[in-house]
Amino acid sequence: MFWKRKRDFKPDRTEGTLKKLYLTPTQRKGLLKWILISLFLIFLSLLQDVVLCRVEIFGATFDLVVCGILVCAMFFKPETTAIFTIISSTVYYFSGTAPGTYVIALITGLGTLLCIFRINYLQRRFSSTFLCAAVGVMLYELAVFAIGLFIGITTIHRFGVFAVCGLLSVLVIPVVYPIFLSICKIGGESWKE
Amino acid sequence: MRHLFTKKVKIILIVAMLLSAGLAVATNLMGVTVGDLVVQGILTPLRSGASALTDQAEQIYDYIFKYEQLAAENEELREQLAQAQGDNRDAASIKRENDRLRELLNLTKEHPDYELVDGYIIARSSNDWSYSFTINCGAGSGIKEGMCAITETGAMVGVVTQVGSNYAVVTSVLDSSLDISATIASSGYSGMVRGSYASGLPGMLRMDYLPSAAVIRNNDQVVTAGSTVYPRNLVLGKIVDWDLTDNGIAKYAILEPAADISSLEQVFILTSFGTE
Repeated sequence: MFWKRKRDFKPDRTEGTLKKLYLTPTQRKGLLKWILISLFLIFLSLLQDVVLCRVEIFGATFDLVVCGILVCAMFFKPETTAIFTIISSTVYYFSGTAPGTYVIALITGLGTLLCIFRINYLQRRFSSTFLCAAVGVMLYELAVFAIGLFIGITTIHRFGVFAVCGLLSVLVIPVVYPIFLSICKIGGESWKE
Repeated sequence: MRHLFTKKVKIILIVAMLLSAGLAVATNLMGVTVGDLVVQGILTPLRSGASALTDQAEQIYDYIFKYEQLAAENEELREQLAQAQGDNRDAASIKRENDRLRELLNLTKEHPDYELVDGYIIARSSNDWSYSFTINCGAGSGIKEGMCAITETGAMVGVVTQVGSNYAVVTSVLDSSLDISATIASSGYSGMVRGSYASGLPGMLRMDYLPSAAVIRNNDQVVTAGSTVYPRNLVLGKIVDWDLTDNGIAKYAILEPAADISSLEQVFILTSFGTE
């Protein structure tokens, strides 16, 4: 008679096996973190499309989604940031509020480069995130204006509106920063470099 | 810094550029892509819900902070509405007057000898047994006591019993104190018409002193017989009922007035007419 031998060693709990649909606590927290980031970005999208679109300050509105993506991108290592920005900017484009397909390359490039810059030259604090995200937002608005001018859908006189839009989005950074920081703390260290 | 610019990062950046270009081409060719449908399909109900909440919040905000502005706007709109309703009433009144004057035109063509002064009813008697009303023209317009009042269709409605400089009181044919000599138009039988309030029929006329042998039919028209006060053939009403008097030596008829005196707005005073 053949008896199945009992296993001598139990599987290592630190090694999760997706094959059995078993997630480690770390993986669960990581999943939760990304779900919360996605939900918060959806919330920012709704806020911009439904509420803030009715508000005009000197003819300009906010760009909450771009601001949120760039702030969040500062918390991760370059590879993670690159993947995060390409996915989020693609979804942003498909949501119908982005000015064109070029935002995918623009946000991915700006987010990744600024993340690399921050890791190399700046410390892990609010001021560095604020600076990088602010530069990213202003460069984004400038690039959108330049591309619009190049393809003929805007005029040079509208530069002020784009600048105001960038400034308004920069003002949102201190509001979204603590929220993203709290979310990124899920699963341990908030700066996942 | 170069160590952070890994191969993976470079690949993702290239993929991002290619994705942008590819989607631009796909959008130009197909218009709406699958990604648009999926993402916007998910976002649409969320946007609808958020929009409904925003509208609700806006209403509450307007109610709380813009109450005075809304109240003032409401008041202004009420005034405009009242103005529009007033204009509408004036238009209706003018139309009715226009219709009456058109009818009067026909009357004056039939009777070129009639001289008429028009007056608007400005007051009515407030008791049930006397029927009189006041018009807005008097001696200043050439009106005198005893002149008769008619409608635009030639129906007699009363006699002027009191005259002021700018008003006149007309006792209507429904008043029991007024006796008018009349004739049944079809048969020629004569009698006296007065208001039948005392007979228990307010709003109707009674024609007395008809011969007992008179042939009376319902719907026969009764007209004035003519006198110094009023001309002949002014319509008083039509017969709706008749009977013998209590003593059996005469007949009487109940008449429905030709004019609805309670709803009159304008009457015409016959200041002069030719005698035939």
